[in-house]
Amino acid sequence: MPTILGLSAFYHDSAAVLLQDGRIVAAAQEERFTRKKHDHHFPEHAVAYCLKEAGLTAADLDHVAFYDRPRAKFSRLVETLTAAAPSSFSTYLKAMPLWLQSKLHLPREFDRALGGAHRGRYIFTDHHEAHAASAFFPSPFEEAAILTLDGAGEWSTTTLGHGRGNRISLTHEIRFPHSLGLLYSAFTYYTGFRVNSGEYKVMGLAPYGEPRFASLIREHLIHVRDDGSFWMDQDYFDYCGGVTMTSEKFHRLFGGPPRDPESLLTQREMDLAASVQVVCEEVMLKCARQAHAITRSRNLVMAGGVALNCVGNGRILREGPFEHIWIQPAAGDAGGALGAAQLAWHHVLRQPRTPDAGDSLRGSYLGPSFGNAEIRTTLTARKAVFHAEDDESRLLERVVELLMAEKVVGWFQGRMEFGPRALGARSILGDPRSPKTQQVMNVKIKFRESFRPFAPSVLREHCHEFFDLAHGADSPYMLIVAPVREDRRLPDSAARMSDLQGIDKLNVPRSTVPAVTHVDFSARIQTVSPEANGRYYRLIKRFYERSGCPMLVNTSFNIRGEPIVCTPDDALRCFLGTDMDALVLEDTLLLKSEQPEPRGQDVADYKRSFVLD
Amino acid sequence: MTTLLLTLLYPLLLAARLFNALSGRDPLRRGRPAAGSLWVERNATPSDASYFSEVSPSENRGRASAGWLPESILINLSRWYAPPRLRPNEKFSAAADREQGIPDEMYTLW
Repeated sequence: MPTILGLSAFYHDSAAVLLQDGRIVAAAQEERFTRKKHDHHFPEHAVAYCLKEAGLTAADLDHVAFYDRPRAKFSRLVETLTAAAPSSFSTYLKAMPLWLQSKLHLPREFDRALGGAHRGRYIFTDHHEAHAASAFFPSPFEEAAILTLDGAGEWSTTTLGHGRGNRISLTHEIRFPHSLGLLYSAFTYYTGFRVNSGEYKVMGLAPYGEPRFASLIREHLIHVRDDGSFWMDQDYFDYCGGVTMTSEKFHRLFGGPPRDPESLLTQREMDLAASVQVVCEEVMLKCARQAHAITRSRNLVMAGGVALNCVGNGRILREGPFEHIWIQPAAGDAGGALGAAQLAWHHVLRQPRTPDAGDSLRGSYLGPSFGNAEIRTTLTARKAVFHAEDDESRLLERVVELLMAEKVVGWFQGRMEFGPRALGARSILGDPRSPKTQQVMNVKIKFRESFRPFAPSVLREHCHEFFDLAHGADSPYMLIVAPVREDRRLPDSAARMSDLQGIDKLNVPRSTVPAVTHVDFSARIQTVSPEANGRYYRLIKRFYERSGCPMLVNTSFNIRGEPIVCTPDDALRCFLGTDMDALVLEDTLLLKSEQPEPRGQDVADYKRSFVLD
Repeated sequence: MTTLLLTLLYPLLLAARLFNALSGRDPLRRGRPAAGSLWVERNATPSDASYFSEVSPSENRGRASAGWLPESILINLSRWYAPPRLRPNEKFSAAADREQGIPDEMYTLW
């Protein structure tokens, strides 16, 4: 039974994935264990977890595959620094020592990290090929067009290709420094958010603004052809030779310097966000049409960080030429570990592939789980007051009662999700019908910006009753945005919002499920099925039976800047450090009102322990 | 020592840039493109054997550039810095970590 370890590391979102006989046994991001968001170090904790899950040691690994070709990336780096010389001198001095001492010696580094136990040669894949593999191989399709979009790999930033059976082939690319991901990141930086995590915020901010800068972007920054290919004027960017994303020329074009992080958000930032979002969607849609023109496939698979732009994905689904699309939930660099391992299995070992009817990710629940005994030992040691609710029906009833009373509940069940989204294993839940939920969850629990929207987890069979998504359409990984149906919107809400600007729109109830309806009447949907997550499905179903509403608000179980919780101890700390009302850890229920008052210092330390993103 | 060596080598990048400019080479395609598609056809699909190489058969420099010279010299220089093998019972730590003060967005590109 061949065993393959896939790795992503040394840039951001380090992760490890273990395949046994081609089956995904375990997958996890390093940040969940180290509690350092987007951790870039070698994923030693994630590797240890994967091996433990399979009952193996590093000596049992047949192959180790890495998601990148370091020499190709080094070539790109030197070429970039050369092109920007002499202004690249300080960047060169900062970047080179790490390459000389570590990144040009990855086989040796891997040997060291695995304790010398792995005797085989290491497998290296192109970064975008790993993304493409992570999109196609786990997908339910026998054949599909492939589109990858991200910041940068070695040279490619965007690729098109085709997958059939156990082979993928990338045929076209756009090369660094021309990158849709980097364009979006430049605006993330310029609007005062952190690159690599603030892109979600830009996407969430966009509906508050008007795309009044879109024509400037098209005219000056990015020239897009009808076939989706594009070129970016590097005079407006600084990432080739400098240490910032945008240049003075960019700042002059948009009328000022970047917004200071944490300063007041103005209508200008909202308009900038709306503008780059519109341009991004246009390019995504054109690229998807080009992928169809080349492959004539009815199916599309996508990966790369830009594939997490679920608004763009929704447009491809609704307006694009494909009948079916499937997006890798760990579309960013973490998913590259999976793609590298699967390339080793299918391309290097030439193993056949049989697509699963749903997909082979099993809901992306591929991380660690914890039993009741372990949980209760932790709670007892932490002197927490808890109720053992071993009868599931009774447990669900109590949780539904809490939710219907507008309480916010931490929900910790089964194996942790792989990828950036909480999908009902490490989630915070609320009642979507309450107009208070969005503000309470953002400000008192997540400690994040009030404008940020929340997503609904909706019973799959009822999804079409609330959202403009075809009956039976699936969005199990919360990667599709769709409009709330007209008949669910409140009659005068659009008119009331048209009189308002920016964040003030948030105060207008927009639909019968206001907590999950964004100001543009869209929602980022997770469809829930009994096959993917039985207990979560039953919880929402019970809520539906009691309330008539087939969905819950689902947000990730963490506070701002914190990786999603991994262990019961992480969950307890988050529960005690926030205004969450209840916590469910497998079959154990905790109520905040029954807990000893946490020391103020502990709560402050908890909040301070994470760098704001 | 490393900084000194790197400083001494940097003029090679300047020379490479000058050579590229004088010979009309633009490996990053920074110049405004002519009309038509900007998609680049990728090189051949990797062979099975190529997966054991850190060099990509599909993603290389693509267009002739003098950047190969500083790159080759830096790769050769890196051999002096190869990390030692891990000794028995020694806890792993990376041979080097990113320099403090590098913004995340830049680090992920390098």
